[in-house]
Amino acid sequence: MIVAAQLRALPAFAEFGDEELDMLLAAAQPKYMRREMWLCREGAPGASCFVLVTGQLEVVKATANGEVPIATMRPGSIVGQMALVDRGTRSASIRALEDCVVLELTREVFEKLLAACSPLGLRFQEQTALAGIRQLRAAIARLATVSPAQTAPPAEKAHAQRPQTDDDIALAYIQTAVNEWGLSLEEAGSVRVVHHDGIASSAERKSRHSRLTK
Amino acid sequence: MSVVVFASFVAIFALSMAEDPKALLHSVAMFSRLDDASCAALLACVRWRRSGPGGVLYRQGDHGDTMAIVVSGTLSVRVRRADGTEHEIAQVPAGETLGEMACIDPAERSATVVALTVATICEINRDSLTRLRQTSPATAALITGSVIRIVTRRLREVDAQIEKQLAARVARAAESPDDRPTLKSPERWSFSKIIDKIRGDG
Repeated sequence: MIVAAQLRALPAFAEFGDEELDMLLAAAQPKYMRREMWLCREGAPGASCFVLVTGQLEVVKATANGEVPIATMRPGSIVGQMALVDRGTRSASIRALEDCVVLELTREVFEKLLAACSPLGLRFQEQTALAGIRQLRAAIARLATVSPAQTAPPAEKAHAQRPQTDDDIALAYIQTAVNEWGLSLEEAGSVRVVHHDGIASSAERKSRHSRLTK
Repeated sequence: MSVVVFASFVAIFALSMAEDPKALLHSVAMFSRLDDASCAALLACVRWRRSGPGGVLYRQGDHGDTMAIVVSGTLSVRVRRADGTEHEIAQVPAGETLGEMACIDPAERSATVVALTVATICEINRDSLTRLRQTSPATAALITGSVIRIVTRRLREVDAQIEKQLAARVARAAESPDDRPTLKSPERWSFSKIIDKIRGDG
């Protein structure tokens, strides 16, 4: 049984009134999870968000190299709110790292709280926004670590990538010439790119090299 | 509207008699259906700013707690990279918003925002949003709700970009585990400069 005082101890709910916390507890469904249990699975439809009350959760994403943990969540965290907002699928899987108590709030309850514009609805909405903003900032930081160093940092809005200039292409060709074809710098200076279809991949460069050296 | 604007001029101003602030708010999609009472509550806590072309509205690295609604004109969003060069990453036309996250979770500005044309923006900061929760809960919920939708959309976009990058990395590793790093220049190079660069690097 979760009581208001437990929620009050969490930073996200410190400013909620007693009555609001009681209402939240009445509106939400408690879930008692054992270690290693899954709270939700990536790609599954979602219609609720979760508040972690006690324990620790791990957020896991599927990659080509298997499932990779991307974040751990501590008590007071709100998660799963994306599916609540855009009715999309779960963007990640979440599992319990230890025994956990979680409150589940469905979309219906969330929307009812908001439609009434109750102080509780507004406060919870603000916490949901904060959770989303922090997840977005973490995702932007993560994108920077997986992107090649030359690409621009992620834009907050869609933007065009820097076009590949002829000089970029020429630079790549000349470097290839010097590094892999054994040309001298003087010879490389006389290279003229007459036709290109993008910078050659390493495999292409290797096959060209073997053709040239035959 | 007869306002004389000088280049690189940014001002906080009171709307002139000729301008109907309610109509300006209604021209923004987010507020198009606000009733009179909500409009009045919102107008009581926003700040209007106007800039000439070239005026800097926000600077990267400054503390930010304000969301801006572009009421007229076009803004340029520019990011300074580690090498000191500044790049435009987006243009924001009238009717769109920027800095939405800051009015809920204040943080350092991640970009510099410059007016490309004569531009008018309407600012809502964290304190005014807090006040609005008392004076007009429905308007506060409307603003917070649209911030949540914007953030959710971007989260999905960034997630997709991360997945794309990870997939590309796996593909690159499969193709060539010892791919040579490629020289890349941030500026335009002539052939001789490229040769000099390679020579200089030994």
